Amino acid sequence: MANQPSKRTNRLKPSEELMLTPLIDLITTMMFFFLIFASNIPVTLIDAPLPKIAATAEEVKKAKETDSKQELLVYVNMTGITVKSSLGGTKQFSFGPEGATTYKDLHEFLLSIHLKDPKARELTLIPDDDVIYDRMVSVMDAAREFYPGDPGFQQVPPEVAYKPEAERFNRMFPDVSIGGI
Amino acid sequence: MSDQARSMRSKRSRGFTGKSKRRQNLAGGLMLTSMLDILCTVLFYLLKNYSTAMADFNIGKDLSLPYSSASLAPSPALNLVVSRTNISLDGQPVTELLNGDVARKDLWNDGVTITKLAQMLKQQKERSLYLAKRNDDHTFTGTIVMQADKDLKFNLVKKVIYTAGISDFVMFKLAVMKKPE
Repeated sequence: MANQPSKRTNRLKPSEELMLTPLIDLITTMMFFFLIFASNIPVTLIDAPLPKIAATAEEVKKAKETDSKQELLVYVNMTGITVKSSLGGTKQFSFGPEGATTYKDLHEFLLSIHLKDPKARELTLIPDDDVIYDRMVSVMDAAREFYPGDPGFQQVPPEVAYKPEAERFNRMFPDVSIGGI
Repeated sequence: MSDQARSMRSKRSRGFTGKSKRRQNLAGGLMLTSMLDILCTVLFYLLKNYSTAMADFNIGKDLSLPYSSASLAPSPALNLVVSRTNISLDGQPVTELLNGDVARKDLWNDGVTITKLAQMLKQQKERSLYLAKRNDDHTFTGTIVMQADKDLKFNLVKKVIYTAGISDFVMFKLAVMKKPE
């Protein structure tokens, strides 16, 4: 009689355990990928639509009927910033050794203009040819939104942060047109 | 001696049974299930917060973007890069810069329009309009994202903006680095 393997032997049974090692390898690799790349690209955008020329009669009429008649011009040169406004008059800000102070003063002045005419949203930025791009962006930052502590400042809910819906909050002069071109 | 007593003695003399040995092995192994749970939770959290738009957004070479408090997340659009050494559109080189400005030969007769950039933008517009005719989901919005080096002068930036503007790319978005809070 030929030898038969015992019925109780486990040798021929396939392993019943789930192979977790490749799964853990995959998850760990993906996790490190996301951890590295999700946090290291902190790029955001500034909306700066170019001024559109009113082409049709209807567009010209609509432009004339805008709620705000306020014109706000911000000139930037190598030495400082000049703001010309129909509501706030003309004011100059010099670039001192600490640029941040200049932008803070500019922000406060623009805020005072905004409080006089809350419907105004447009600002025309007119830099000199020698002005660097970084300065233009800083002026846009000072004009765009309320800072914490400003009258009208609202905390942006975390669920809409970094989304287009967040653009509804804390807007001061968000529509910046670049002039002098 | 009864058969039962003989059997007990024989087991004791052999030490542990096979079953108890297997039990001991299980208890001594690494408990991966809870670790896998944690890894999966972290992975799903990262996946949810990882924006594909951000992943698609490539920052150009030879470029340091200005810092800003803007909070609009990057969106897919035509990518115009103005670095310290050249201008490129969606990865295609447009022109080289000489001393931080466009060479006179690369400009149109008006001294402002960058000839090759205008041609490439016109091609992009035509392609987009062609797609819009055949696909209802696609529309030409004239959106363009500009990445410009923070130290570039307005003299160069205005040429780029002007060229984009006359090529009907008026929805201008400026890429900036998010200011650390």
